[in-house]
Amino acid sequence: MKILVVDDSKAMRMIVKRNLSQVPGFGDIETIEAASGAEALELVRGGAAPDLILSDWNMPEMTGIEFLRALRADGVLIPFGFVTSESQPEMRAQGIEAGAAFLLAKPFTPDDFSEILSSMV
Amino acid sequence: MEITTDTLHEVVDSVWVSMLGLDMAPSGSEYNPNGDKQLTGCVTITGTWQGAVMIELPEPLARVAAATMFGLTDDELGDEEVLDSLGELANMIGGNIKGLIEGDCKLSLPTVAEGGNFKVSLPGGHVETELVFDAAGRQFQVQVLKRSE
Repeated sequence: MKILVVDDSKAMRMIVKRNLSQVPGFGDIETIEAASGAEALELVRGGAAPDLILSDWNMPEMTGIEFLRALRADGVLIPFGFVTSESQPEMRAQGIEAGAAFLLAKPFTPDDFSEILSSMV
Repeated sequence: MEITTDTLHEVVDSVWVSMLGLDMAPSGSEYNPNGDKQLTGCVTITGTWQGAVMIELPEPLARVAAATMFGLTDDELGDEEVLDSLGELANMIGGNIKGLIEGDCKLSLPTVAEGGNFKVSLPGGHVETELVFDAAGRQFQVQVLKRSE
């Protein structure tokens, strides 16, 4: 499974990758990284073809929600989840309406992460 | 909406303990950096509630947090990793504070400052809540600053 991890924080990308390796059922994982929505969009438009995208919300250049909307406008339906410190119900609803499968709020425990990601297997 | 010390404690605990897996406890004394180089991470919140959330800590403690987040040893850490980790800590604490505030608000991207001889202030604002914690033999301080209505 190829997973695109999008976050402007290198530390958070590292934490997400570490947690991904512990999700039951994911098997071999290849991760690719981007530090903004714009960089991630360029990767996908360039043919990166991930099976799943995990993205932060607040990032420079292009936010996560703008990235998701741009993907869906391109007709790209890759499963997409937010991993973000934005946990307000309105933002969750906004993300789901734009096509996100879930919003995992930071901070999270490895169990929180596994539980929500297991549903994507 | 007032951010109480109990609320702030709960938020910081969830970030520091749950996310980093490091121990911490409220400190019984005022914040004293003891001459260590200081690092400050800050995010601002704008909208119906306006203010900022800051975390201030000595560099050795920031390196402990960064090493945990990156899964690296202290020797393997560069300045970039330390500053990045502190920015993410400020982002997580600030994002969770924002989540408790009613109304339409925006969270800024984090800013990190380093050095010992500066003071961060919010024009027209005041410290609404602050807490000092003990962790790994040092202290860190978290402040919520609110701009007056």
